[in-house]
Amino acid sequence: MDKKFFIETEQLENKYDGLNIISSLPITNDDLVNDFLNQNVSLESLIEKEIYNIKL
Amino acid sequence: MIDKILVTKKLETFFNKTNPESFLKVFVISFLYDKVNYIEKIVGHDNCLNMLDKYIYNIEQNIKSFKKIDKYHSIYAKYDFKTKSLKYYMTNDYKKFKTTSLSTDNKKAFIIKEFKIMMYKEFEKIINIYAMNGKIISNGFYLEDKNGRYPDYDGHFSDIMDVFSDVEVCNITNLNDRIKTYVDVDKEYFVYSKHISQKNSEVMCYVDLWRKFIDKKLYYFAINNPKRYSEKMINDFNSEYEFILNGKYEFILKNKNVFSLIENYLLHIKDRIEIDNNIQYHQELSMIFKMMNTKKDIYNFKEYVLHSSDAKNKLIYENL
Repeated sequence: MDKKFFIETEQLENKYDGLNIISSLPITNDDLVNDFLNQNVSLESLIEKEIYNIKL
Repeated sequence: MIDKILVTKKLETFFNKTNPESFLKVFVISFLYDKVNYIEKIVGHDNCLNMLDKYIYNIEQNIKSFKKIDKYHSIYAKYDFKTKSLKYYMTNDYKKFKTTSLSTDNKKAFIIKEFKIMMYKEFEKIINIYAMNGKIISNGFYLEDKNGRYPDYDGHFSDIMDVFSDVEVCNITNLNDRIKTYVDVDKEYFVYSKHISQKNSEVMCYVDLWRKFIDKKLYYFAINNPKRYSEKMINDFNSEYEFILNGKYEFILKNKNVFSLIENYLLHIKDRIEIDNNIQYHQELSMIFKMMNTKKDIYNFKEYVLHSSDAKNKLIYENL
């Protein structure tokens, strides 16, 4: 399932190159990891959140 | 280019087994992504994919848990091989920081960066440890050899790999803060450091410089397959620079080959062995690199070696 999903994702990316369609697709069942993969959060912002107890 | 999704997919088994907090998952993905994208330009795509698989295998074997320790006075990250646990502590304090006068925002950014580097360095060490039946067979390019090197965790050659790991993660993240680190109590001599490191500040730039005299690709091959390439990497280096030991200068430390001699100086400085000789260790190590540089002419060479705060203090090596 996963393999197929990733192939399809790659094809979508190529087809809609420039439309940033990947950003709305969930990649794992972990929301935070998905946000990181979709470039919605950075590692630095997560460290900051953990250290300073900031809500993102 | 290897993307984050591929890295994440390859880590699935590891995440299922260890079930770390989400932000730790992001740390591992981010480190491996930065690492492979850095080395891919050097070793090529196919080799890089093979190396990624080895890194992930070693992570799966070497990390059984992440443990947030209860209390510590500073940010902290340290891998414990015996318990196969990566221990860490996060706080808005860093004790090496007290003497600086940064703004609150800059201090925050600095602590975040240092914590990232701390964790990255531990991951860098972990991906390079290959163990079997509880015994470390290799840690990076070190495996037990006829010259007395050994890969035991917390041993001398683990200490050397610790510096190489520090330098590697600075290079991966393009970090070079050029922090002035004095090597004597009178503050007459200093070296630059790429970031604040309690143990490696005095030696980090020497290792960064040393890497420039070792074939880039061979270095990663030696780490990936030390049985096949490590001896070659060390022997190639020794053949190229053996003239240093054939000169007239009597070094305070004695070794049969240049590679071992450099290791010896690094360990003496890093581990504070016979600390009264520290300036001389720095001067002689700088001199060794200066002699090596006659064959290489490294750009900005002086940035990496010992400096004098006072122009009157001519370094010994300048006169040779």
